[in-house]
Amino acid sequence: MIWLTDVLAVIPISLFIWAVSLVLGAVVAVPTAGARMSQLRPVRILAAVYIEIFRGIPTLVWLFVIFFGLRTFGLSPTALVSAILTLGIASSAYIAETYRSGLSSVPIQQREATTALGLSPRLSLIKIVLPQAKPIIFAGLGSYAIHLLKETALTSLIGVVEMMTVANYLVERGANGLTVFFVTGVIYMLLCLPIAGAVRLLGRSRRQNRPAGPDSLTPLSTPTAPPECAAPWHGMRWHECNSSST
Amino acid sequence: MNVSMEKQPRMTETVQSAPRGQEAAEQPAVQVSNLGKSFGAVEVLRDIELEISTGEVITLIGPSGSGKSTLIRCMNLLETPSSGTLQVMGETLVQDGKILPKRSQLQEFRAKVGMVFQSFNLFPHLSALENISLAQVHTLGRRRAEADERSAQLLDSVGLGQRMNHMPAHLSGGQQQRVAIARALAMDPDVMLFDEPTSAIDPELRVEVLKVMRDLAQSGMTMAIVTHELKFARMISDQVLFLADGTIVERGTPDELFGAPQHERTHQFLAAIEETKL
Repeated sequence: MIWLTDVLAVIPISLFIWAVSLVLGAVVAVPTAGARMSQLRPVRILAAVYIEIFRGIPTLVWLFVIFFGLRTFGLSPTALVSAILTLGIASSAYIAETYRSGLSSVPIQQREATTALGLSPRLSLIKIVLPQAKPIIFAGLGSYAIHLLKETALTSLIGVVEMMTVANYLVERGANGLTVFFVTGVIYMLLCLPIAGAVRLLGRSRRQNRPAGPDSLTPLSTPTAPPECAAPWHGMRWHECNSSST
Repeated sequence: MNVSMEKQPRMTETVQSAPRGQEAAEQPAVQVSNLGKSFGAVEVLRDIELEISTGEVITLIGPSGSGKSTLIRCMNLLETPSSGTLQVMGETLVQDGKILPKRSQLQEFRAKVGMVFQSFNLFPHLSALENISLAQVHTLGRRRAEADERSAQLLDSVGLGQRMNHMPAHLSGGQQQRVAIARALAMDPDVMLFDEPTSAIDPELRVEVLKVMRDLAQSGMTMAIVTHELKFARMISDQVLFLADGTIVERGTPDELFGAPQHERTHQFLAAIEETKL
């Protein structure tokens, strides 16, 4: 099993490709999701076309298109850059849809309530919509992050020295194929486990396990009503009550 | 349902002595002229003429699809009227179907027109207290402690002082709606709009919401209410409007409209409601 150290040694490369691609995808997905939900139809259509192109064509095809195809235009990105670009852009299409589904899951009535209260659309998004969309977005993001880690294996086909490349090399040099590929597979699985756990933690609502009873809660503050405003409508107007209390 | 509440005298006398009373008395709180609203080719409101005086309570009744909710939503511009004019507290907000104020001014205006929704629309990830404090901090610019204090007062006022840290999911429908009313009142609105506030609540729990609304009306708050609670409408309203097919078919005092309706369509509607009670 001395070959195992060779596979383990390149784990950081696989993780680097995965992490940078995921961050690139998550960032590019923000304007893509925004465009997909735009009120302007042409913008919406453009975003939909972008998403469908990158979701509909296999990642391997895009990998070859970017690595070999760009040479036609005089560009010769390295294997690592091509891998990150391909996985990053493909991720942006998937993650944009994850964002969109999360945001769409928040009922329109929630936005209406914020509008009626005079909150700006930006505050409405930050304070009301995103916190409610977060668990759904993180659930989708977690699944995709795991999928993406496994997709990094494809980059071995353009010569990136990552786990599958090393495993292949070892088998070509006479190591037992079944053992090497099985163990490599187990390493991918073990790498996925903490990702799934971390995403579950991030997506958990801070109130998810909050009990119902007031006794078990720490109040945000302990305000008390002044006696004259205990029932502000009895004999006085709301504004009078308010002014007397402030 | 039986709402065991006695009609009490309105407190308009005290209102007139309020600082804004005299000025406000000269102009209606809400004035709607020739208002129309279409969704695509479907015309849901047409030629709506309506005036709500300061401190007045009006009730909109009518069959489903008559345009009641759309009309009340037009009053705080959750729906943009397609035509006509809308004035609130003397300020023209819509003229010939166009919204006049800028977006920031609109936000300010909306805070002055409280809205209570049929399905409460509380923010499920915030406690009752946080639901009420949020817009006070971000729209009115109150300090957090001040906002929380005001929220606690209001929760006390609606009988939920012991529930301030409860999440909406842990409150009954009636309690949620009372939190929603407190949330709207926290903005110190000039006008309160209620869009079928008891429709989504169990009959047993409706009375607690209706009592809060009754008390609010008695305090002199200007209110427009869409409701199917006709007994309550009769008790609380200064003016009742019957809408059908996107127009105001008939209007009058509760006694006039419920006691001696003039229009055949109003007769049919009230008779149908009576039949459902059997």
